[in-house]
Amino acid sequence: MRLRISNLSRAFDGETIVDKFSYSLEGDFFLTILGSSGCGKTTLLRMISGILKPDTGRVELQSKRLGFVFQDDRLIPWLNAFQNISIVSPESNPVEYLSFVGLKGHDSKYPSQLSGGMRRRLNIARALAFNPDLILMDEPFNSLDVVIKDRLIEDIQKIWTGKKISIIMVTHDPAEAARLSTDIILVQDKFSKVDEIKLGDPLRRSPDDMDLITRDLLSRMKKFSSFVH
Amino acid sequence: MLSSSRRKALAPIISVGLLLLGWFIASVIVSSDLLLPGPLETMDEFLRIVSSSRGWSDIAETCSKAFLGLFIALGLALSIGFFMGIIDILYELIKPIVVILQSIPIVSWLALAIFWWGVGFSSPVYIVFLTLFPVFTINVAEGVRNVDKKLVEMAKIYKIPKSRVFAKIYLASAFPFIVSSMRVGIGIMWKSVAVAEFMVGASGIGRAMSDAKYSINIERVFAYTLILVVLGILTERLLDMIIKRGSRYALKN
Ligand SMILES: Nc1ncnc2c1ncn2[C@@H]1O[C@H](COP(=O)(O)OP(=O)(O)OP(=O)(O)O)[C@@H](O)[C@H]1O
Ligand SMILES: [Mg+2]
Repeated sequence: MRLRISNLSRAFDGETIVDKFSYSLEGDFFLTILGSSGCGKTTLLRMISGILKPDTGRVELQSKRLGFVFQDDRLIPWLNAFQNISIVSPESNPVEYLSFVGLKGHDSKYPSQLSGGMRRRLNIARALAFNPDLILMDEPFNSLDVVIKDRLIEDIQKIWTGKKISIIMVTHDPAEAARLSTDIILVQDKFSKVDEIKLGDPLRRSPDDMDLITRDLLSRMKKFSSFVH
Repeated sequence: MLSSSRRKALAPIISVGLLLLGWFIASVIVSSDLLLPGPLETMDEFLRIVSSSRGWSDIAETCSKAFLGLFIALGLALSIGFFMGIIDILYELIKPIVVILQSIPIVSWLALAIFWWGVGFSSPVYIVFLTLFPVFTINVAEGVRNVDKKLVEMAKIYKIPKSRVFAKIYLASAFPFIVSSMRVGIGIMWKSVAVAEFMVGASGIGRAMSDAKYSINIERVFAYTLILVVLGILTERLLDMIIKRGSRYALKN
């Protein structure tokens, strides 16, 4: 997978949100984007997916099949869990992906009959069932309980290694970033300044390394004035 | 003590019973079949109509005109309303025309119908169509505009084929709007088909009422009114059944 973002800018109602952002990455990466709330992370993912047109600059991407775990889930309210998956990938077996995210037996439930965390997992299952070569995940583990979150992180890491796909994840949690990422960017000042961190293969990372990375990320995040009030 | 569901089932029976009783008492007081036939006389005439082949052919005529007008209106409204819903400029352009159509009173169409479509089968069909088409079109357009743009964005990202996006997202979003306009529309449909037949029909319930009026057969007028009321209630029930079957589309789940 090759990702090349050059000079990307986007404003909403005259206010610049993403300001001349450039970044490139190659290989089977797991890129994590860390940044304060409202700094434009979702906006960046939407531009990468091609659904939002930038004002200037461009995104070059090889991806043929792109999955998206939406921050706001975006499940179709009048389709049940099974149908919400089969509508995006008719050739997949939704039951398999539902049990993968721990929603076995919930196939015929509608989104409103699922809890927040269950909806989030359905959102993740839908992205995986699409059989993507790149997944964009917008705070995918929010609102999940610790045990489920831990299992899902493990399983997603397995998918990432097994299927040779690339992932771009937005999160607020430096520990998640330290555990999963090959690359991390810390966003400040509307993407005009970013800290780029190259970590390499997360599978060769010891728990101690992860702790160190987490602490390093946290102190960097604190240094950015926008992270403290 | 009555359970609430039994109370619910009983309430309409009581209210209709009271209505019949009031009607009966009033007819006894007036005591003139010319001015106000009672429920028994009306029922008598009703049975006479529904046991004659002429009666049934009138009812069938009226139904076929009403439903023909309804289906043409619905079909056109679905296609035009859909494009109005997804293309803003079409909405801005067509909406004023539809609103004007909607504001034209039915008497204007009736006055023109004789010249434009003549006395016969087609005039009532046109009139049903003209009264329903604006209501349906506006509702389909509003329903489609009401679609959650975030779901449409999701569908684009996952490359869901256009036909499925239409059926599963746009049409499903518009479904509650379409249903409520159908409810209103079915009432309008029976009223406008009857009045059109009354004025410019060669056959059907409305025409039969007009004939009854000229022969001063007021029981007949009442009996045909009863038939229209029954048709209205039956179609309302039918619509409810269709909605239940289509409820996989409905938003409430
Ligand atoms: N469609 C839009 N119209 C107007 N303003 C928008 C739109 N989308 C985003 N914005 C603005 O852009 C800014 C960044 O929004 P974005 O959703 O990208 O932030 P974020 O980094 O994802 O935040 P969070 O961590 O809270 O999810 C916000 O100030 C938001 O108000
Ligand atoms: Mg966001």
